[in-house]
Amino acid sequence: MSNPIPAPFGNPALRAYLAMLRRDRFAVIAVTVLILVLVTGLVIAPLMGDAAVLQDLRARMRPPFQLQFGLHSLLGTDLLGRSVLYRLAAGAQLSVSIALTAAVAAATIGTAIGIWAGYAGGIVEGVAMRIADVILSFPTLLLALLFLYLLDSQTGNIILLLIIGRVPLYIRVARAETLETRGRLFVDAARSLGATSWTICTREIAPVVLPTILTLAALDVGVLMLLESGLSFLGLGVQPPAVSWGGMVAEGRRWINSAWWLTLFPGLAIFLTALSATIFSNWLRVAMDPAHRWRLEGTRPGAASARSGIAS
Amino acid sequence: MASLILKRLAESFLSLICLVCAVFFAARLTGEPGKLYLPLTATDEVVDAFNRQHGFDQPIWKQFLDFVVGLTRLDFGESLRRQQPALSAALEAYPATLSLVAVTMVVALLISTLLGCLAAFRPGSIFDRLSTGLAVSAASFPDFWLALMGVLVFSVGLHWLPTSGTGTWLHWVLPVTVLMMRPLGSLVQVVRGSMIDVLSSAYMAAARGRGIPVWRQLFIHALRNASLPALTVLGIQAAAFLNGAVIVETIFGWPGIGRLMITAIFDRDFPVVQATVVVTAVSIFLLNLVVDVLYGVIDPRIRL
Repeated sequence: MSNPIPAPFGNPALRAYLAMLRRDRFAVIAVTVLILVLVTGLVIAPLMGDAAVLQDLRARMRPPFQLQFGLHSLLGTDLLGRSVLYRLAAGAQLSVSIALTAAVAAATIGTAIGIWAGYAGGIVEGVAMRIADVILSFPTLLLALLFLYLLDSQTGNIILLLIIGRVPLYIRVARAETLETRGRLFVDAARSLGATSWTICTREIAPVVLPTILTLAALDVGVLMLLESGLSFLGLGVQPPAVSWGGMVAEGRRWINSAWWLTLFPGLAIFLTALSATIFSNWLRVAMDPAHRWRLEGTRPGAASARSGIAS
Repeated sequence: MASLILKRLAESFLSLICLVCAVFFAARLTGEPGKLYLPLTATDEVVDAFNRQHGFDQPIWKQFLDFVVGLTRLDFGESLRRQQPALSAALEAYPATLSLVAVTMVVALLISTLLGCLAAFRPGSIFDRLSTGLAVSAASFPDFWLALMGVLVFSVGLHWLPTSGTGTWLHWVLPVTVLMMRPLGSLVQVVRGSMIDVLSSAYMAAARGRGIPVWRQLFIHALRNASLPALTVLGIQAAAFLNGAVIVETIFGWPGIGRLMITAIFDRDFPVVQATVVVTAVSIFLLNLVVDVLYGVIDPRIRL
């Protein structure tokens, strides 16, 4: 508020967002968890080598939290003596890369098609929306199961299916926002100044649509993680020996009576990551919306203006 | 209203045709159907004989024609593992899923209405924050894990509930709870949001002015208008319910269509897979239709 926040970064927009982040305790925790998972999945896991699949038959089925065995057995070990902690880290790699790739690709493709459909209208719009309706009206999991049965359960196919399942969502949202923006005065102004359709779409409409899409994509990372883990749990997702969190829960299921830690920890990892993505997305929605931003800035403008912002 | 339903029916039918075509061509394009239908260990001679018997050696347009003709007679072919037509296997399993999803939807609607109304009554209160927190986390639970944890605590640990199967009402508790979780999250937030809008309207101020008891204000006056968005979300969530049903049925041994589909997938029983997909798709479309009709029942303004 009044005291300026020390600036670790030069970018004033970034600084403003950091300041807003510090106002929301839950968002700070969520971002911390997300960064932790990201770093584990993208930096630490590739450096671990084969630690996650290394078997040690003398260390079978160790319960968690026994400090005398060191980091290896901190979260327990499975039937083959593999470390649950190391497997969690390795699982983060697949879960993060699948969910992130699918979310980014689906958001990019869906937004491009959606803006185009909303701006061009006509037959492009009709066909795009109809295909989107067909895909959306059907459970993504069933669709993925069906096509993973026909194709192979390779990581690339899983990502492709998740993208196909999620693209319609972005098409719908981007189109709706474009339809609303298309009639606004600044778009008319750009058009009368002689801007091409391409320029109008990328320079005028896309910046308006983008915050909504970003929020949706952040939320979607969690949803995709849940979907992927569900597929892996059913045995149609990531195949062993590759490690995934959903697959770990499925493996642990057989020993749920005796070795609860094999199921508890991977599931907890999925839950916490998905929850963090949701909380972060909620924060992002408020932070990116000028009409709601005051909630995070701590300065409340006239209540009337805020109300009108909510109403619109 | 009638024209709306007709339009919806036409749209659904079109979507259904797209889906069926996609299933057909995906099955043919991803390799030899003979290999798809037969066990992985089948020899070439067996595959050839199978292809001849089922017409897979015909040109693809003729196969498609036969497939469509079969569909119009509701014939998906014989199940390869069960001695019965694929469609009757799917329809036999259907009531179990339908009752599970229906009960879950009703319970979810009741709980979310109660939580949402109470949260909206005093926005920012402890109860509001608790229920919002609950709603956010409910949507983030991996359902298969929640199911296993439920079994671990309530069946293995406390011996209160059975681990799987059907029979008594106790068998319903865990499946319904797990299946409810994810849709519940968005439902609570939607009810809360629309309730806050309704509570600030003039007719609610009038109700307060007339001294009507609080519970009556909330659950009789406000709820009817506030329930419309919840109903829409329930329709949208129909797909999510069926997503969850696959997992819940697999874990709790519920003899429904989701489990049938998974079993059929692992048995490589493609006619049954096809039949379950189409039956599921039809039921989603019907469910959305029911939601549309309910919409008209609750809000006379839509009954045009």
